[in-house]
Amino acid sequence: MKSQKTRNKILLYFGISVFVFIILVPIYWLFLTALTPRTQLFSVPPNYFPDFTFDNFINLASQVPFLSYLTNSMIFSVGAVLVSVILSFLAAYGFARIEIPGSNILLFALVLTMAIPEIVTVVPLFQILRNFNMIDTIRGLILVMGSVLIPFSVWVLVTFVKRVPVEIEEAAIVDGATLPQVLFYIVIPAMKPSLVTVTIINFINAWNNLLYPLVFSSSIKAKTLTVSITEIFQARTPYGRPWELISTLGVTMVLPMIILVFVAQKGIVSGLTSGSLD
Amino acid sequence: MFTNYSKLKKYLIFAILVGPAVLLRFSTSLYPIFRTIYLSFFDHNLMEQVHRYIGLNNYTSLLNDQTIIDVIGFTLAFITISVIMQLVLGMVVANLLNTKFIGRKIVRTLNLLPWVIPVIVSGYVFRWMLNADYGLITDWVFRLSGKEVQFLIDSFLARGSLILLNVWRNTPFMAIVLLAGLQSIPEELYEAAKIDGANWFQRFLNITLPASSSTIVTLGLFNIIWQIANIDIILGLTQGGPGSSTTVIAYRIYQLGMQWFNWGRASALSVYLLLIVAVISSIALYLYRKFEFTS
Repeated sequence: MKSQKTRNKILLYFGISVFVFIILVPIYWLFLTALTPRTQLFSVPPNYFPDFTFDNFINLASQVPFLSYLTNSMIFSVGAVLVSVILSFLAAYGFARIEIPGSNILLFALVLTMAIPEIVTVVPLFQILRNFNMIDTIRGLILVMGSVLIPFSVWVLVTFVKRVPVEIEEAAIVDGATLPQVLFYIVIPAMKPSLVTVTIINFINAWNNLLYPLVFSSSIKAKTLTVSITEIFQARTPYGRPWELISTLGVTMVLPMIILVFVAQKGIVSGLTSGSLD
Repeated sequence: MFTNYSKLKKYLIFAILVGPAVLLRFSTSLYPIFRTIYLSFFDHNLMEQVHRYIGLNNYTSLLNDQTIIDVIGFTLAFITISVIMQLVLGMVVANLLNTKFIGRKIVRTLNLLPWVIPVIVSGYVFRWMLNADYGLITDWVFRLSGKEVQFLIDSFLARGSLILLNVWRNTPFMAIVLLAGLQSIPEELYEAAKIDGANWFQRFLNITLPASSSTIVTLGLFNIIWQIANIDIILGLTQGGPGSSTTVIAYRIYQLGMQWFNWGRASALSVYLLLIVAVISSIALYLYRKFEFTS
């Protein structure tokens, strides 16, 4: 009995090691490549213990307008988060608290638009943005990305509004509070954890989005880091693809996400699981 | 709430709260779909500056194109194999993460990493690791088997590599949701089964699996919808090649519309993709509601 228990323990830790190994190898290789000098990169077998260098970061900054792209990515992601979270919170509150014939069907239709593949709407969206002079602008990108994030946000937030006891709000209204006051002083504080969760998940989604800036941006004005990495990938150099620069830019895109995950692991998980199990 | 408000005031508040989100979302999703359906009946090419009504020609010519048939076939195979692997592995990982062990918290956090990394970046990393000359995995395979394998040059292996990358990225997400399902199963059930002498596999088969089946089915179907639309993974790893062996429908729409500017054909193929998604969504919704009401 005891030996079986030990055997199970060994099996368990072996399984976990394999799992962690599979997850970490690509990430480790990305970081290692970014820190490898170009001259040591193209060797057979691969250089497992290169001399570390930060030259690739300097080269990257000298070859692409890295800071502009970083700023664009930031403004784009924060903007899309603000648009989606504010609009979705208001809508979720309306859906959860006001009974109107057909409101359930409207909510259902809104959430269902989550299933529409982004690629299917790209051509018409291009025409719409062109008509409003918003091609190659960050505000155009924010609008379409904010829109994509709305169905998921509403879906999650409706369940969380319903968990806030309605009696306090009703009492406040009876005491003469206005709806904005109720939202600001009662509902938002009560929903803070779920709003933070949706904010984080939406930020991750916007930060990682490639399709919209790839199709709708054409200049330094509105290109993001995700577009930039595809351009570095296309670059032809005498020694092949510049894998050290691709990896270096990749690291700068991945690092904020890794930090977010370690800071907000619990919130992310609760957001991802609330919709599917509630 | 708002019960003693006049009907008009109630409608007005509802419209102010819900209106902006609904208007923005519908105008950038439903309107484009109608526009796409409209465009699909036209020979609309940006490069040749034509806009001519051609009825169902785009639809029939797509289906007469053997490449498109292959692309649709690979899309279905890619999605089916990916999702089955993700569900099976996701279940294994969820069970692993549900067991008590030292460092469980950190492993659960690490589990999220593949899912939060930009897909285009993980695509490039895998492309680099599978590089025929300098790749990390290529080197490992050579050391183990003595063979120099060219993963992304052989079409069969390229397809396999794409599926593996997809599984690497999406299994953690499946695992998180399945884990939440596992945690809602009362511990007493397992204790009772243990006392009755059920082994690990029997407990899994008779307790874990039935309790998770609704999550598994809905999750599997929703995941199909999300993954079928993703083109980043292909832009990163294979760009549809070699030939068009790793091209999925969504990526071909991107090529038709954004690289070849044939918006008419791109729209017709979009409608085909929408039909596939509609079928899967209907099944997902039917099962979701069924499980919602029975559980």
